[in-house]
Amino acid sequence: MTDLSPLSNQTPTPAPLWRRLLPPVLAAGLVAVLGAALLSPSRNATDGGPLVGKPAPDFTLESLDGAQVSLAALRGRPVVLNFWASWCGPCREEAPLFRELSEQRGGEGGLAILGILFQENKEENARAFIREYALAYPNLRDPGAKAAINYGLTGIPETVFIDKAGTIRHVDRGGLSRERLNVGLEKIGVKGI
Amino acid sequence: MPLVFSLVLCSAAALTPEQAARAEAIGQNLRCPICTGEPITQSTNDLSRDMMRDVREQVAAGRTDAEIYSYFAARYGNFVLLNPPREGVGLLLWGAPLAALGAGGFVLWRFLRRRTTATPAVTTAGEEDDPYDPYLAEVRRRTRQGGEGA
Amino acid sequence: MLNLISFDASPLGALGQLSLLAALAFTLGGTWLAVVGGLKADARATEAARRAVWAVFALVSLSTLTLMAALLGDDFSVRYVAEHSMRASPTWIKVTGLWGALEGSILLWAWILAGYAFILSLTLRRDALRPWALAAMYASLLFFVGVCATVASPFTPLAQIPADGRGPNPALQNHWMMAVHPVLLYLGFVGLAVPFAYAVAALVTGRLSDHWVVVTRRWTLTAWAFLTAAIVAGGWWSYETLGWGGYWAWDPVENASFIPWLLATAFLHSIQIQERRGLMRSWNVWLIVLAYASTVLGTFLNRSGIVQSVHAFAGGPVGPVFLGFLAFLLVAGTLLAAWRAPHLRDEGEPPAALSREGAFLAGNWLFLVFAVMVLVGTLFPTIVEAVQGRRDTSVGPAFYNAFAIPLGLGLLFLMGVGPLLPWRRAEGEGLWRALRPLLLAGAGAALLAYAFGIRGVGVLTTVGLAAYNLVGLGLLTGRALRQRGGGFLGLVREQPRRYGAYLAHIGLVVMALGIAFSTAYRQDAQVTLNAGAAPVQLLHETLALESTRVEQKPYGQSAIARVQIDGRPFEARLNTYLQGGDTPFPAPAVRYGLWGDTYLVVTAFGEDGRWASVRLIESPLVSWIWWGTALVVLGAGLTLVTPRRTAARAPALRAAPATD
Repeated sequence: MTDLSPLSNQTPTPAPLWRRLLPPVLAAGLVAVLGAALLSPSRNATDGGPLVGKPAPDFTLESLDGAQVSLAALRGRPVVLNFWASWCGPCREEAPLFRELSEQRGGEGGLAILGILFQENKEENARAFIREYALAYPNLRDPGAKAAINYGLTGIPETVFIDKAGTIRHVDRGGLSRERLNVGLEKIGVKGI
Repeated sequence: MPLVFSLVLCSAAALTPEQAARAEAIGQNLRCPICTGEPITQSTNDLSRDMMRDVREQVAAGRTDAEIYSYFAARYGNFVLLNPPREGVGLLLWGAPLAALGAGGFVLWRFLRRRTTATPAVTTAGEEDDPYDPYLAEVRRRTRQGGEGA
Repeated sequence: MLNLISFDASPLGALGQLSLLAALAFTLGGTWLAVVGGLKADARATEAARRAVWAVFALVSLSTLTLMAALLGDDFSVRYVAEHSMRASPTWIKVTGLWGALEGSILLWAWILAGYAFILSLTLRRDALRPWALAAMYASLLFFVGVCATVASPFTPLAQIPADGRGPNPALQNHWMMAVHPVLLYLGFVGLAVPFAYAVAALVTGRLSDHWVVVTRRWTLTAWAFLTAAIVAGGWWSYETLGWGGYWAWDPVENASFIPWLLATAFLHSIQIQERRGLMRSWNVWLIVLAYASTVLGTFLNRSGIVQSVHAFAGGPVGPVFLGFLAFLLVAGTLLAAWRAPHLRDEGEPPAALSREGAFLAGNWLFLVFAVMVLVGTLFPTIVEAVQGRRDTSVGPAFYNAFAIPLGLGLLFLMGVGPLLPWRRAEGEGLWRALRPLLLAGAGAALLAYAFGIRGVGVLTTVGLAAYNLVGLGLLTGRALRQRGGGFLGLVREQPRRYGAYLAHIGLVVMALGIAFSTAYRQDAQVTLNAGAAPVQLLHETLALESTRVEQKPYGQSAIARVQIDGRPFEARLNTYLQGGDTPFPAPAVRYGLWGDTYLVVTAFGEDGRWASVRLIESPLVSWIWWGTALVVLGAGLTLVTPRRTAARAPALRAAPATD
């Protein structure tokens, strides 16, 4: 639409064909791009993000039980970080998966699972949530959402898969299913459940 | 998003007025990652507030604008930058209006230059001041043209 | 196959659906008749097509009224009512429900389009353009009535009739402006369909009478006035509901309404060159085709959900349908124009650079660059996403402002020069003489502003250009008054077009000042107030939280903070609606003032109502934007008034100053 060629169409000899065809071609191009954007669904809805392949940002946070947990101390073990809150519906749906995961793959030297609370307005609700789903791994307070910002969180639930070397291998946005959980686990060298 | 009852507003580090203005300006250009297209200075949710506090802390720590932007871009992607960087693909964006300006100006210049003969600068004041009458104008145009053609 | 009608389930729904289908049938017939009338120059077919418009308008009106009756009567057997309305809403919300969701808004669109087509059918002259203008109008009608009657019908039957509806979108319940803004916007958008129809007719027949010029100008001006009012009404809605004290955020949907405005404004100026000089014919046709296509583009962006926006409707089946129409309009329109526009020859030679034509064309250039800039900024993230497969770019106000401010200032400058320049050609020296007082006034005003402590370059330039414009218009009016004698009102009545344009320009100057000051000197601060505690000093005010309370409404609840600001009560609300869950919708308390607004939003409440977090915003001259718009619309209306004839026309030739 930048084309101003009709201005120059005033001469007795009409403008060359290519110039007259330029606006329709531009218009067709615009429509084609819009069509492509409309018909192709956004492909990064569930995975990716700029942190994949980068070292996981370190943090030291306090768990609801009062213990200090630092990511650096878990170096050498694969880690699954789950950002959640008690008011978030999909978090509830995926909670049983995490319980199963911690039961099957957790333990000394195995997979470490950490929950990080995001915008939890009442800690009481979070405790009730943990009791309800019998979550046995540490769940951490994140005052000021520092860790959340450091991990580029755009919403919850969001799950970060970190390998033994401390590199982020996969990020899953939105509620996990068993398949999607296994995709992430496979990338950090943990057998799926 | 539920309301969160916290008193985090005053907890940020004390900034000089210049620093506060800088932090505000940076915040204007950071997109709230969980809203639709609002900068973090506009949206009222907690994450934006926390991000804004983060910006203020970084400003207080003496980091440059570019460092702060790249800090957030490294975590959230370029998506978070409302002032798209003028490099790579961004050059296309920033260049397009300039190209339009240049191309349009060139075409306009050529068009205005095309006058072959200079018309004497006679203006009919009547034509200027009278209420415009398209019919009269057409008659005038026709007669003038006829005159020129003859 | 779509299940469209069920008589048993919903008599009203069946009535609405049947009238839509009948309207579609008449539209199809009318299209055929109009094309036959044009191809064979058959006056009877054209006349029949013209009358078919009346039937279409009557039938679409019937279905719109049916839907309105169903909304007001809480008839949940009608799908749209069940999905987007509820008993508990106040009546005005039920009325706005007509355009509060996708299907209804398309029906409203079709209705307004049919209304315009009806007016067009009554005013069209019997000339060669008539069948083709009707045919082009039918093409638009065919799309909108077709969409309404099929994929986006508000009347398709429900499997089960609910006891109460799901209720309206909460964002639309929050402010009365939602009753005004969409209707104005559609009146503006759809209004451009008429000049478009004339443009198509001109392209097909290769004829442009002076009647064409007059009619398209009038229609475009009408649409433009509605569009101006609609854009600003939308800004006011944002100001009053989004809770950050701003009115324009370069949101894709806002941009989508702004692009047609820019193109229509360019057209309104360049059409005058055609009117006076018989030049720029093909260019004007191009502008109209692009302006109308850009309204459909805007609607597509709004309806398809491919851009992220606060205002967007949810995506649905209509996205591809709108894309198809957009593709047809854009590609067919530009192809037709590219093929036929060279046949619309200009008489006479191109305008001189130093002339009013030259100024208008320079303005056109800036308007087009502006439109391109907004379009590129709006679509860039979408294009990058389509190419890269990831949404990894955002374009925010920083980009738009970087270009909009210089372009806007350039336009303000040209706006002052234009009326000074004579048609055809100006002497450089005479122009300089005429321009000098304006430039002096501008420089003086800017210096004065500087002395008062204003330092922003953009604001200083705006102040300077405002004075320059106002002095220019004042001098021109003063001279006309001296030459003619008599009162100002007589002058206006004789030349409503000129003084209407001046008034619109003054309105734009007032708006520009409002925008510049409210953007540059907006102040914003947040604080948490405890009920009954000692007043807190914030910005230039003292704030004290007097009390908080919660009001229950059948459709939701309002948490209200009553705050004394410098002794005057402000009641800021946080509304929640049944449909919105926990999501709070702020309703700020605003005290409007000529020199600035005080704007209070409550962002959070303590659970026991003992405290509230508030955000206080002070922005100067915001209301100048609303008042300026009123002047612009008034001026546009004035230019449409028929001039009162003077008894005797003065002889045409007089010694002429180079100016005026």
